[in-house]
Formats: sequence, structure tokens, C-alpha cells
Amino acid sequence: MRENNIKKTLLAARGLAKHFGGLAAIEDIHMEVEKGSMIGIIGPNGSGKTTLFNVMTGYLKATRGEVFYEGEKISGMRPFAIVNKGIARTFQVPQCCKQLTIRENIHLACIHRCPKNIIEEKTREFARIAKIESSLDTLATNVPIGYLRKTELAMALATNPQLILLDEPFSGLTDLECYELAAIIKGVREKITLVVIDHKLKHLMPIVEKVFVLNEGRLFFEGSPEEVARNPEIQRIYIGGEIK
Amino acid sequence: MSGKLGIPLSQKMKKISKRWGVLLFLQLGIPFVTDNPYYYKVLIIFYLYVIFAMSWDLIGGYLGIGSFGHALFFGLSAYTTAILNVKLHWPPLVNFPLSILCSVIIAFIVAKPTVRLKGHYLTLVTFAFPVIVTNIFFAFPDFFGADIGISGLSRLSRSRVVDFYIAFCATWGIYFILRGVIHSDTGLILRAIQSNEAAVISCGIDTSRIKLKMFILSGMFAGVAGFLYAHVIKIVEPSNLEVHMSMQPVVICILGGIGTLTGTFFGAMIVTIVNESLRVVEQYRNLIFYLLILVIVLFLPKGLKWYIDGVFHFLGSKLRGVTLARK
Amino acid sequence: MLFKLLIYTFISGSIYCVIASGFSLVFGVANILNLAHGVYYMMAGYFLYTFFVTTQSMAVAIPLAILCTILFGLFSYFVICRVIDSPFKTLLATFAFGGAISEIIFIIYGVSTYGIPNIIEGSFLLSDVPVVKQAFVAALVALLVLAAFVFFLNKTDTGRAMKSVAQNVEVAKLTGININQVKLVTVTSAAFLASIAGVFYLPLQSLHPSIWMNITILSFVIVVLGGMGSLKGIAASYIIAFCEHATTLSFAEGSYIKNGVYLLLMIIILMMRPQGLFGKDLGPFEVRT
Repeated sequence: MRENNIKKTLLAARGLAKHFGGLAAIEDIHMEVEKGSMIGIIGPNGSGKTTLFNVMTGYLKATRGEVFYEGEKISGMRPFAIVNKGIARTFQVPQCCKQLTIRENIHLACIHRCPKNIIEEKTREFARIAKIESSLDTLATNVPIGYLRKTELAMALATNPQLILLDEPFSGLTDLECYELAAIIKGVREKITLVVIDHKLKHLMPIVEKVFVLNEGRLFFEGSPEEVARNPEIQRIYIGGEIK
Repeated sequence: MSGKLGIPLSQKMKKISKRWGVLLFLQLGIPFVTDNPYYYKVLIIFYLYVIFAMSWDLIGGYLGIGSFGHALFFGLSAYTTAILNVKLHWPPLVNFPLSILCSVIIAFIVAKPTVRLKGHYLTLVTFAFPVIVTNIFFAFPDFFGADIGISGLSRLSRSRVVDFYIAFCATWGIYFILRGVIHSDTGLILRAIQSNEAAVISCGIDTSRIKLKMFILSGMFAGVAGFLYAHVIKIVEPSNLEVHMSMQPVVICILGGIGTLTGTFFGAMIVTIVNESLRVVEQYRNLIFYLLILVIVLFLPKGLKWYIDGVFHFLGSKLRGVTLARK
Repeated sequence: MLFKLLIYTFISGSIYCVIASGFSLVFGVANILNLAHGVYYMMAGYFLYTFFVTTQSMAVAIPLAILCTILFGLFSYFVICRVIDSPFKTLLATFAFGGAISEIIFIIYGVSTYGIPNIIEGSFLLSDVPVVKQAFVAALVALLVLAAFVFFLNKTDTGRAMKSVAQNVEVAKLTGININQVKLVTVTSAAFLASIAGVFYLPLQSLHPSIWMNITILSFVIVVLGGMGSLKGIAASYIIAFCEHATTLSFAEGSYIKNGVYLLLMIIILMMRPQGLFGKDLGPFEVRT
């Protein structure tokens, strides 16, 4: 039995919709994420990407539809419970505890997951992976956004996830920082499935295998990065016209 | 506050005993120094205010939930022991667990809506509960004694000295329990929740449950203070649950510095001294109390203790001929 | 019985409306909970009493009382303005301020309850229900003043400045609005609104240095239930008034528990909707914790 060829669906959204009053932020989303894959989600502003993440991770309650993780229904579960199932996420504005040091932030994520005597070690390990070891004892409020993003990533890794959803990780970073972050992300993908939202296609496309394109709350297109690059329709929804 | 993680417990205990050993020792010796019943009363009241303030600081200073109705747990415990003691003639020892239980139950009831709320709504709900309960008290004036309350409670024990040691042990016991909580991983979670609750949730931690637990712990200790109060003052009145009493721990903490457990000793000292020395001008007592709060809030944002520490720090560094950086 | 309830609800509700709008305004524009809000209402009563006793003329006492309350409102702003940016500190400062003023009143006027003579004597019958003329006039004046104030908010430059600060402080700054001035006008307006209520309604109520806390709590609850400056806010005032009167009329101990009843109602509503009845729908960081 060639078991390594059977792709397992890790995360699935079926008919997912979220309405805010009269506005349908996302509508009729069907999406499947296979275990071990690297997925990108792109789309113009307001197309519902972050709302999708929020619904999938329990921060918002879906108006319609369901989310399944490893075959189990998780829509309706509270956010902390979904994290404990194995889905971690980051936010557009990195959510770290500003009044704590970087070390304490990562330590926070390790609590309940590792026995007390190895937490110190684990904290340093995750900091090393995220390349922020040098700033471990700085207060998070004194650290630039690039470091905050890396801290948030370290915290996400510390929760021992099988799936990480990254929301615009390259936003606000310099080109150099983007390359560095992309390398870190590629480094963790061996064990973890990743779904990344971003606008910086230059950094996103090289690292993903499959891309979902959202427009006005609906799934517009799904395919490989090359297919997306070639597609004139996608150029049009982003900038209102084609690039000749 | 920088992290204090990774220091083994034995080292921590050594640090504590060095700094506080002297103070503890001094306080232990007080009964050998004086016999005056008034001093004993004032000291016990000081201690119970410390307990009350520490209980508030746990959720107000560390978790960041500013409770403006903490007197509810305090006063309800006092009323419970009063009713059991005066109407059923049960001794204080038996009443103690029951009073604490009442505080815990009401803390649970208050916490349920509170932990889901933020900011102003949270304040209002903590404000509202004591009013509802005092309303219930006034609705059954015969049972609860209406405006006059219930009087004639017995003392804690047969001797003033034993009373003193009970209060002393309770205070330091609760202090070390809370200190243990603060310096543990739970303490880190509390500070983290105050800083950014979303980040804590992202770590997979059930923040609602922790907030609930801490609220109950806080209510429990406030109940201990209320119990002691009832048996020292020997009268319980509706004012024990009302907003003026709820403000006592808040004032003590802002005097001593919110979020520092040891600051409560300092703050309680000031409040007790002010309260007692103002007895001669009973009329103006409350007014001076409010003006004190106003002055502290408007002009001394970091708590009186911080400024006095600063003076000592300055003097100390001048004596040593160096200028040290202030934390 | 029901008709009686409705009349009382209309009268009290209108008064509460005008008091709560001031509170709601300060909350919306300056983003502070002025726990001393009830003090404006109370001070209007004490000013009126004092001026009436000295001048024996309501025609003089009423405007003087309103003016003094406005000045008092101005004074309160200057006391609080240092800490106006920190919600926790403002809570403490306004509470302490309210308490201090209340204690001063206690010292000057003593603990007894005062009665102010009615401006208009007598009552009339509205379908078998006796209605005190003063009460009816108070409600009408309250509604008129409120309507005038809404006009002021929408049609004058100052009013519109207040609205814009309430909606978005940063944008308001960009258009050159002096935020501190706006906050000052807001607090003073709140004092004015409360004074109108106090001057006409307090003659029918007992005047006591401790009434301020009750009024503040009342305003707070109305704002939580009714939201900020909308028609729904007006509805909330009447709902609260209805609760109060229904409780008082139904139970023997009604007057003791009427506060508790509407507070309990508010808590239940907040448990079902943590953002308040009219708060925004929850975003990702506002709790589905």
C-alpha cells in the first residue's frame, strides 16, 4: 500500500458564509487543505480573506456552512479549543503581549504543553527557529514589527500545531525581512501544513504549491501559482485592468 | 515588570525571608510590646484591610479587572457570620467555612457575566451586584436588620492576643499564597491577559476559565477579610457592602501601587492611620477620604509608595555617591 | 392601574431621558464615564432651594440655579481634565469628586431631606388618574429641551463638532476642531441638561445629599441598554421608568428593590449580548472567548 501517496484532508470548509447585517463578507466557500501542503490565499482588499480565517478559527460564528478539521466538525468551537486541536494562527497586526518580554510570550505558549522542567529549553528552541534568540529578554513593546511577527510565529509553533494559518505575515516588513521570514516558513513546513494570506505575491508565490483567489467574498479561482500568474481575470480583479 | 521565571523555589524563599524576615519578626513581637486593646483592634483592622486589598489587587492589578463592587464579597461574608452568630449562636470557628462559602458562591455568580465583558460594562456590572444584594437586604428588614444591621457578634477568640495572631497568620498566609500564584505560570497568564487577551487565547489558554477561577479566589479572600471585620467590629451594617467600602481596597492599592502585593501593606497603613486619626473630626472623615483619592489619582499616578521609594532611592544613591537607574 | 403606570412612566421616563442624554453625550464625545453625573442633578436642586430661600422668587431662582449648575459643570471639567485620557483614573476621579461634593453638601445642609415648593401647585385628573401639574410640566419641559438640544447637535457648528469628535477623534482633529474645547462644552451641556431635570423635578422628590449615586447608576444603565444618542436610547429611559414604577406599584417593598430590578434586567441583557443592546457586532478581538 503506497500510503504516502494518499493525501489526507486536514482542513475543510463546506458552504461557509458569514454575513454582517446586510453585507456578505464571505459566501459559499468550499475549500480543502491537504495535509503537508503549502497554500496561499490572495485577493483584493475586502474580499473576505481575514474573515475566512476568523470563521475557521472560531473568532467569528459562521452564518452558514461548516468547518471540519481531521474529519471533526470544529465550527462553533471556541477559539482556544481550536488552538488546542492543532490549528494555530497569526494576525494581520501581530498579537503579542506587549507588557511581557519575548521570552515570556513564548513561554506563555508552552504552558500546559511541556513539562515544567523543559519549558526554558523549549522557549529557546522556538526562539531559535524563529530567529529571535537575540532579543529574548526585551519587552515586546520595544521591538520592531518584524520581531513581533517572528515572536508570534514562535508562539504559534510552541502550541504544537499541525496547521498554521498566517494572516499577511509579510505586511509591514522590508524586503530583506520578507526573505528571512519566507525562509523560516519554508523551514517549518516539513512537519506543519501552512495556509498563508498575503498581498506580496513576489514573496508568497515562490513558497506555495496551490493558490486560492477570493473576490468579493467568493472563491474566484483555485490553481497553481503559475496558473494564477497567467490568468488575466485575476489581474483585473486586483487592479481593474490587465497588465499587457 | 521583567520576568522572574526560572528561579528555583528555594532561592525565592531565601530572598523572601531575607527581606521580610525582619518585618515578620517585628510584627510577631507586637503583643509583647503593648497591652492596649485599642491598638490591637486597629492592628487587626489594618491586617484585614491588607487582605481585602490583596484580594482586589489579584484581579485588579494583575488581571486588569477593576472591580468596583468588591465589598459585596466582604460584606456578604460578614453578614453570614453575623446571622449565624447572633441568631443561631454558632461560634465563629464554625461560621468561618460557611461565610467563605457564601463569598465563593456570590463570586461565582458575579464572575459569570463579568468575565465576558470589557471595560465600562464590566465596571458597571461589578457596581450593580452589591446594589442588588443590598436591595434584597432592605426588602427583608426583619431578617437583615435594615439600616441598623446586626449587632452583638462575639469576638474571634477569648483573648486579644490570639485574635491578633489569627489576623496576623491569615494575612501572611494569604500573602504567601498569592505570591506563589503571582510568581507561577498562572501569574504569567494573568499579566498576559491584562496585556493582550487575544494573544493568550492564541496560545490555547481558556481565558474565561482562568478569569473565573481568579475571581472566585479573590472573592474568597475578600470574604476572609469580611469575616474578620465582623468579629472585630462586632456589628454588620449595609454600608459594609456599599460603594464606600468597595473603594477601600481600590484606594489602598492606588496608594501602594496597583499590581504590587507588598504595596497593600503600605497603603493599608496609610488608610488605617487616616481613618483612625480622623475619628476626632468624624464629620469630615469621608470628605477627606474622597479628597485624598482625588489628589492621589490626579497628581500621583504611580501610587504614593512609588514616590516614597523614589525619595529613598535618591537618598540612597546620593549616600553612595552614584546615580543609579530607576526600575 | 395600567394607565396610572403609563402616566408615571411617561413622566419619569422623560426626565430620565434628559438626564441620561447628558451622560451619554459625555461618554460618546469624551469617552469617559462621569460617575459624578448625578451630582449636577443634585446640585441644581440645592442651588434652587438656596436661591429660593434667599429671593423668595421662583422666577429668579430657577435661572440662577441653572446658571450655577452650568458653572459647576465647568468647574468639574477642570478638576477632571488632567486624567481625562485614562478610563480607570477618570472613574476614580469622578467618583471621588462626586463623593467629595456630596460630603460638602452633607456638611453644609445637614442630613435631613429638603423639600422645595412646587413651581406650579395642584393637580388635574387624567381619566381618573391624578396627575401633579408640576410633574407633567417637568416632563414636557424635559422633552422640549431635549428636542432643542437635538436641533443644536445637528444644526449648529458646535453641535456638529461634538458629533464628529464622538465618531472619530482623529478625523475631527484633522478638520481643525479643538478637542479639549469640545469636551469642555460637552461636559457643560451635560450639566445643563441635568439641571433642567433637577430644577423642575426635584421639587417633587426628596432632596438629599446621597441621591447623586442613584441618578448616575440610572443614567449608566440607560446608556448601556439604549446605546448612544439614538432613538433607542430614549426608549430605554422609558423602559427603566416602567420597571421602577411597576416594581413600586406591585410589591410592598417595591420602593426598596426597584433599583435592583432594573439592574438585574441589565445584567441579564449583558449576559446575552456582551456588547450591550446596541453595541457593534463583535469583531475578532472582542470576545468570542
